[in-house]
Amino acid sequence: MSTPVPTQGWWRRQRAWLFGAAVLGAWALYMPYREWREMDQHLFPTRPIVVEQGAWARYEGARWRLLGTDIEPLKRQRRDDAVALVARFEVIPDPGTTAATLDACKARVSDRQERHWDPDSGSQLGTYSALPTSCGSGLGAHFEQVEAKPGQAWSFVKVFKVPRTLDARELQPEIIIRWPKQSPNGSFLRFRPQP
Amino acid sequence: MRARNFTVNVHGFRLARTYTVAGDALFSGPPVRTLRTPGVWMSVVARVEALQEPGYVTARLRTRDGYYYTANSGARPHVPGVNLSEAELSVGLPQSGAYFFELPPDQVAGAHIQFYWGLLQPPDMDSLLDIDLETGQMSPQDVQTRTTDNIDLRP
Repeated sequence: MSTPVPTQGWWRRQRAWLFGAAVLGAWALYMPYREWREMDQHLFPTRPIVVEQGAWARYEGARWRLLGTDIEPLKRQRRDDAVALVARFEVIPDPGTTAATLDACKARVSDRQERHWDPDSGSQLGTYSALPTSCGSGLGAHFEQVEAKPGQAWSFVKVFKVPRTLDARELQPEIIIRWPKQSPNGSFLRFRPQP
Repeated sequence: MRARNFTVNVHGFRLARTYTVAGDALFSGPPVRTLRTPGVWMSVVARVEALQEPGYVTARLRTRDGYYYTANSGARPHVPGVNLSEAELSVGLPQSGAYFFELPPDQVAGAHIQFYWGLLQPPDMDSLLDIDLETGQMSPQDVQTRTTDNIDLRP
């Protein structure tokens, strides 16, 4: 007749293995989650750096500010329910920051309900500005390529088609660089609207 | 009907054998073009609106047999401002127009139209609106009667 082996003893003897397996299991679950979170932050950034009116903000190797916003009618689209929001920005790159880095920027405007609008082509909307539409490069007066240079201010414009019924003072222009090298992942600039 | 990020109102559909569209006169093409199809053209008239972020609403037909016909691209027929396929939507700015399909006449009866966010396949874990076009009782004769020879899509 054999003596029954107490189960509790088995758990005690295997506890090191069991602990290791639990740690490995948790790690195997956490790592893909962390990777997904990283990717999600790149695609849908959620960490705004709020910039007060007229203030400069440091972001991705440059200083940025909002020069102002204007509302203009749509001249080339027959829509009575929309207007063009023209946002003018200024950026001063730090030494070592290239125009290509700045050109990776994306602009948008958002409202308090976190709805947002992407920029449109100003020519399609019928707005005209002498300023370039890229954050770091553009065409000069003689159609030559010009770029933002470290230490020098570079102004550019972004045009958005937004509903006429919205209060433009509630729309917040934003600057996003989706794959930041210096700023925290998922961060972006959110400029307080003009009063 | 309301989905996660868009609303759609379907106002009805029309069937046609051919469309007349403006040609590419600017590029030495004919001033008027006639678009033919081996089946029938179905245009589903709708109004779509983005609710939270800019993007695209794609439509497809699900037939009684379980086949899918995705709406034609914005290039066929090329009627900017009318063809809602690949039309970028801005939040709060609804667009009215139509989605255009080419399908065999015998697939019209019982067709449903489905709408989803984006330009590719219906995304997982997101809205898919399914609207009955109420063609279930249509006989082949009804389809033929309701199909007009030509619809002029020129502005």
